[in-house]
Amino acid sequence: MLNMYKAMPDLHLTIEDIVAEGDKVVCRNIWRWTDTASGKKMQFHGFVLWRFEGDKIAERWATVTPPAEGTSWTAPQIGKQAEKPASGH
Amino acid sequence: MSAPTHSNAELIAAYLDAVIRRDASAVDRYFDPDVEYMVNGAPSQQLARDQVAALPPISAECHSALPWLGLYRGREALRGFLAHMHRNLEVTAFGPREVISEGDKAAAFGWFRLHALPTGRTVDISYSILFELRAGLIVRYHFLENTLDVATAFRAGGSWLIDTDGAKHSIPLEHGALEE
Repeated sequence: MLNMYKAMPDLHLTIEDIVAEGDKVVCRNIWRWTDTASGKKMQFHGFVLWRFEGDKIAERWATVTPPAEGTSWTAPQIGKQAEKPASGH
Repeated sequence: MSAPTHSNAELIAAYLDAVIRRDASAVDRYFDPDVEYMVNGAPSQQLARDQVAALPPISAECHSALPWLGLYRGREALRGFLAHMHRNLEVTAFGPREVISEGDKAAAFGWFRLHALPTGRTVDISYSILFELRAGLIVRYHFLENTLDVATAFRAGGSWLIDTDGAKHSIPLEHGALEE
């Protein structure tokens, strides 16, 4: 994860959908960042499934699209629920 | 209107089983007339035209290799997609899958077995699906799979050239879990 953050220092994750049942949570996410070499706005999309044991993540599965050049995006306003900084995925 | 939690999983299982049987009547049985059915994304031109930036773009290369991928709106378009897909491949099995439901939304994670008709290859592909239901019918269906594995099943020759961290890797045809 540290390598990812180095390669994508402005990485931003948008949660588009979220589904939770029991100890599992699924999100449809969009990851967006600026490529440090080219300056291009990039993105990939995907679904992530987490399984929790207590307050810790015990399992993670993901299906994601290949990275692609993306549309520009605006950093979220503080307090906006659906937009969270990428502290993990 | 919310479908009961258990029926979401049953509906998903019934639809995926109908795909294996090539049961065209499943479209009317399981999908809302205004369904948004997305298979891995939409070609960039369509995304730009429809201004649906929240959906993943499909590159021109990927779309030229697997032209049935895309975004379909409505039952007629969905029927066209299924007919196009079935001219090229058979889905012969779905492996164990996990379905997570909450109200009108559900997600499924699993794998399926694909038989590519032009090459005769069979591969197992991981997938995930996000569903949204309205009045017991699927109104939104977003499907993601490993498109590299799918494209490999249809490749007749040559090699993939992948640039990873500045190094170019040639991945020959034998790469991956193929059953000749």
